[in-house]
Formats: sequence, structure tokens, C-alpha cells
Amino acid sequence: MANSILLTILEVILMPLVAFIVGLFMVLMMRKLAAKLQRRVGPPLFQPLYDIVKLYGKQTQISHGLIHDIGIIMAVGGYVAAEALLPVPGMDGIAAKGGLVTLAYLMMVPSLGLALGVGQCANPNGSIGISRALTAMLAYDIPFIIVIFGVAYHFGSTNLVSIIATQQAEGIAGWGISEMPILAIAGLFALHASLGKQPFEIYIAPAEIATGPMVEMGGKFLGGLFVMQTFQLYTASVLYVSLFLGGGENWVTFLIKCFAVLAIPVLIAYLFPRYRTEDLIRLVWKWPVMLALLGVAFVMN
Amino acid sequence: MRPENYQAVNHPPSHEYELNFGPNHPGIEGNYALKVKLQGDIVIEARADGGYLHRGFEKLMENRLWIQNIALVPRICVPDPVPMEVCYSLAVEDLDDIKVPERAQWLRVLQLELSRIAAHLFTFGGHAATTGMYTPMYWGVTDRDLILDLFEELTGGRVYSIYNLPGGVRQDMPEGFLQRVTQTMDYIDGRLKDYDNLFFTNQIFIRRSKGVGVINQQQALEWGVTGPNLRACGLAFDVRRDDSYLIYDQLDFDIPTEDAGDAWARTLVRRMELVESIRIVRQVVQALPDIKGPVRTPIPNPLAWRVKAGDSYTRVESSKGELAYYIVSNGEEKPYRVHIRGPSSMHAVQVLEKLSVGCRLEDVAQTMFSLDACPPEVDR
Repeated sequence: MANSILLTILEVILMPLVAFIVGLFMVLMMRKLAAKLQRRVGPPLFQPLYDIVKLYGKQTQISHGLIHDIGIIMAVGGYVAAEALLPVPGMDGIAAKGGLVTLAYLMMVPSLGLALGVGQCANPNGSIGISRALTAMLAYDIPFIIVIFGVAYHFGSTNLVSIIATQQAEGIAGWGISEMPILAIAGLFALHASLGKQPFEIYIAPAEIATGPMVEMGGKFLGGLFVMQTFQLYTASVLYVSLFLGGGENWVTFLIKCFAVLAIPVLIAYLFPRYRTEDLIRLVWKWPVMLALLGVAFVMN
Repeated sequence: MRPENYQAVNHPPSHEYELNFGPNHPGIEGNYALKVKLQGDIVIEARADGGYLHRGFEKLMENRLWIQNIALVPRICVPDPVPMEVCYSLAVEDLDDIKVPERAQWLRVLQLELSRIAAHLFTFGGHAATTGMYTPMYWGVTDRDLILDLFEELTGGRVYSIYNLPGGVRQDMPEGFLQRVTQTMDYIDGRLKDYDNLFFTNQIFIRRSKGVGVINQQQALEWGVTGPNLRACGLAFDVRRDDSYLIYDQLDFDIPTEDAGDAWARTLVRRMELVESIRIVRQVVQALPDIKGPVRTPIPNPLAWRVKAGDSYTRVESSKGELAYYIVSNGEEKPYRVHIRGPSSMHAVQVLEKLSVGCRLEDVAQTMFSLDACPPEVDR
């Protein structure tokens, strides 16, 4: 019993670390793919890590106040907590005790944390950015929640460990994507929108609102957002793999699936401009929601 | 405070706020600022704020020798510096009755059109980036570099070539240069299909740029709009054809126009002009080997050169619009007065201010980039 508790504690500590390291490589892949499309060389292997180390090495001269500091901690903390609920090969953490609903809730925390932190900066660009980010969240969370509901209904559980086990027991034919293809497409839409990449990149928008939430961030605060990005990429892709691609049988297949899933929105992102806010909401509430509802209807039959 | 001195402060409604685009902002071209007042997402007031690049080019020119100004003028418009050199040289040649050799005129046209292609490639990238699309920006910069390679080979300078002097050009082209120009044109011609697929036919970009910053033909004429921005309103006016200079009257090219007058139309006109410029370059490449002779008419000792007294107004068609130099000489070693009529002074100040009002926040940067203004030219 004591051993099992110790093992769980160890996993809960290790899982965010693994997420951070894999997330760094995901950031690298994203930048490399962008560079390939844009006919550039792209950054070297450890550039994402160098960026974070450099930013954390900077001395903080000013703070916008306690809420600002807490906001960044919430933004990173939300994802760190989420990692303990995302099973990976060999480590389930507390996934069996949590569930999809808790995970979905934790994935909303970073946006709320950013809203708190950036709101205290009182920079209009930041405030507009956050208002756009929350609007975008309102848009993509609806298909996301419907997809989660559909998957949970299909597998009869909100427990990710058992969802993955069911898929793996039946092979590729039993994967979520084979049994619920419409939901899988809707889920990919929601995943892309949740990453905030083009054409859904309405809240960074450098030419419009001077990078929005990031406008008042520098040094450790910006470093915090960089760390958040690594977790964000990891969380979104691992969740998708867990719901639709049978999770990870081993680390090799797991990582291949995660990186392949992430490559889809990344490749699309660098070929499109961003939508206007209302176009984004119209699109996301139309197609992904319709697809998700259709997927749920199929699942419930 | 005594009651009679009390004045209620009129606060603006809480939903109105101010936002600065620039002078250090990804949505502004260069060191320039647009201060906007918004009501929600809609701009209700806009004020252009220049001066961040002010070096006083016009005044500086009055204190330099005629020949020294050649090194100064390209700096007035970094993305398209060649028309600055050519226009200044044409004005000085007009003042001093200098006849430019034919070969030099063809070389000038070659360089002018290459510069137009480079500037348009740069502009597409900038416009795309304002809508969040960065790939055309990298492509544009990379392809523009091929033209800068040609400039380096021809003139020794990549951006500021300082190649055109009163009397002609500094030197003839190196051996095999025309072949390399043809190769580059073939490459860029081939790349246009990629640009079309990625950018010009991108439905999200079209949706975002159509109906943004609309100018009708009458407004365009009243506000002093020129160049591709004027032609995007349906008026086929181009100095190269309508007040021809150098050897443009011997060349076969079309003046592309669009009718909508919006950001989309302006970008489309530039896209079509790119094809026309490539066409002109090909004609020059074909004709140049048969045009023999010097590339420069000798001028007096440049350090003691006194240009004849008089005044001259000379205009050329730059990639941004109509560019003109009004130069007054009192027969001294330096110009008495130089005035530059740059297209950006109109486009980036009064036109941008007017178009921004009623515009949405997300379209402000796009409006400016679609006008293709050049801030140092505003601050000249």
C-alpha cells in the first residue's frame, strides 16, 4: 500500500517533467516545420530550452502586482496538474482517480489564470487579447465538451486509463478514430482551435494588438508563458491520442502518434491568416459543433 | 477650489479608449505611429504621428554638393530606393541640360523595374503578415534577396546602390549579367504560381481584405492618391506611360487596374504589376545587347560643379506611386531648394487617417500595409 502511494507520488512528479521535455521537442518540431514551409533553416535542437533558460535568467525589475504573478503560476500550474491526469506508457499517475471532466476543467485554468494576470497589467492590448482568448475559449470549448461527452458515452467511462485500455484491447479497429470518425474530426478542429494557431490565432495577433496577453510580459513571466506553451502542445496532443488513437502501447508509438497529431494543425497554421473574432466563433460553432453533435448522435445509436 | 472655478471634467464614455499603433509596433511600417481612438472594435478617430525618422533630407540636400546628394536620396525610401536616385538625377540633368546616353537609359529602366519587383515582393509579405500569415513574408524576403544579389553584382550595393548619377549610370554591367537576370526572372515567374496558391487565392485572406479601406476614384483624386493605390480604384494612370521618361515609350506593357478600391484590389494590382515588370525586364534584356555606346555623359568636376540656375519638376513612377523632385538651382555648387513629392506623404497621413475611421481594430494595420507607405519618405 505504502509502496503504491510512493509510486503514485513519484509518477505525479515525473509526469510533468516528461511532459515538459516532450513539449520542448514539440515546440522544436513546430518551429522546424514552420521554417521548412517558410524556406528557412529553423532553430537548432536545444533552442526552445535555451529560450526558456535565457528568459528565466533575466532579473525581474518590475511586477504588476500579486495577481499578475499568481496568474502566470495558474497558467503553468493548470497544465502541470493536468499532466498527472494524462496517462503515458508505464505511468498512470492519478488518471484512474481523476477523469476526463477534471482534465477538461484543468485545461481551462491556464486561460483564466492569464486573464487574471494580464488584466492587472492594465494594458489595453493585453486586455483585448485576453477578451479575445476567452471568446475563443468559449467557441472551442463547446465542441470540445461535446466530443468528450461522446467519447465517454461510447466507452461508458470518463476514466482515461480504462478508455485507453479498451482501445488497446481491440487493436486499431477499436481505436476511437475507427469507431467514432466524425467525433475524431470534430476533436481535431477543437484541438487546433485550442492551440490558438492560425487561422484561430486571434488573441496573439501581433499586428493588431501587439501580441495581446504577452505585451507586458518579459523575463521570467514570458519564460512562464513559454513553459506553458510546451505543456499546452503536449496536453492537447496526448489527450487526442488517448481519446482517438489508443493512447501509447509503448513510448515509441506514443510519441509518433503525439507528434503526428500535432503536425496536422501546425502544418495548416502556417498556410493561413487569422480569422476575425466573429468569423472564428461562427466557424467553430457551426462545423465542429455540428460534426460533434452528429458524432454523438452516431455514438448514441 | 472656489465653486466658480469648478468645471466638470468630461470623461469619454467608458467604452471609448485609445490605442497606439507604433512607433514600435508589429502592425506599423517602420518607425511611424497611428494613434487611434476606438469605440469597442471600431476606430472613431485616427491621427497619424510621424517624425520618428526625421533627418531633414530636403534641408540636408541644400547643404551638400549636387553629386553628394546621390548618396543621400536612396535613404528616403529603403524598400524602393532606385526611383529616388533616378528621379533626382533626371531633375539635375534637366536643370543642366545633360543628355543621357541611350544605353544608360535602358540600364536605368532595368534597375527601376527590378527594384519595383523587389519592393512589391516585400509589400506582399508585409500585408500578409498583418493578417497573421507569415509564410508569404518569408518567401517575399527570400525572393527579393535574389534581386538584391543582382543589384550587388551590377552596382556593388544590395539596398542602396548609388548607381545612377547625373549623366547616366556609374558603370556598365558585368559579363553574363543579362543571363543571370533572365534566370532570376524565370525563377520569380515560376514562383508566382506558389504565391497565388498560398496567398492571392487564400479564401480567408480574401475575406479579410475585401471591403477594407475602400477608396473611390473621386476620393483618390481629391486626396492625392497615386500609383497602385490609384489604379486599384479603376483609373489607369501611370507616369511611365502618361508622362513617359527614359525609354518607357519604347516598351510594351499594360497598366493593370481594379475597380473595388479596397485592400484586396490594391494587393491584386501589385500582383499584376509584378507580371508587367517581369515583361519589361525581359524586353530590356532582349534589347540591351544591341544598344552600344557609353553609359555616362561626362559631367564637370563634381566637387566644383555649378548646375545652371533654374528650376525643374521631374516625376517618375515608383512602386509606391508618383514620386517627384522639385529642385531649384541658383547656379551654386549646392541646390538652393529641394522638395520631394513622395507618394507616402499622402498615403500614410491623410489617406490613412481617413480610411482608418470606421475601420475595425483588426483591419487598421492591414489598411496601412495595403497602402504601401514608406515612413522615412513622410519624414523627409
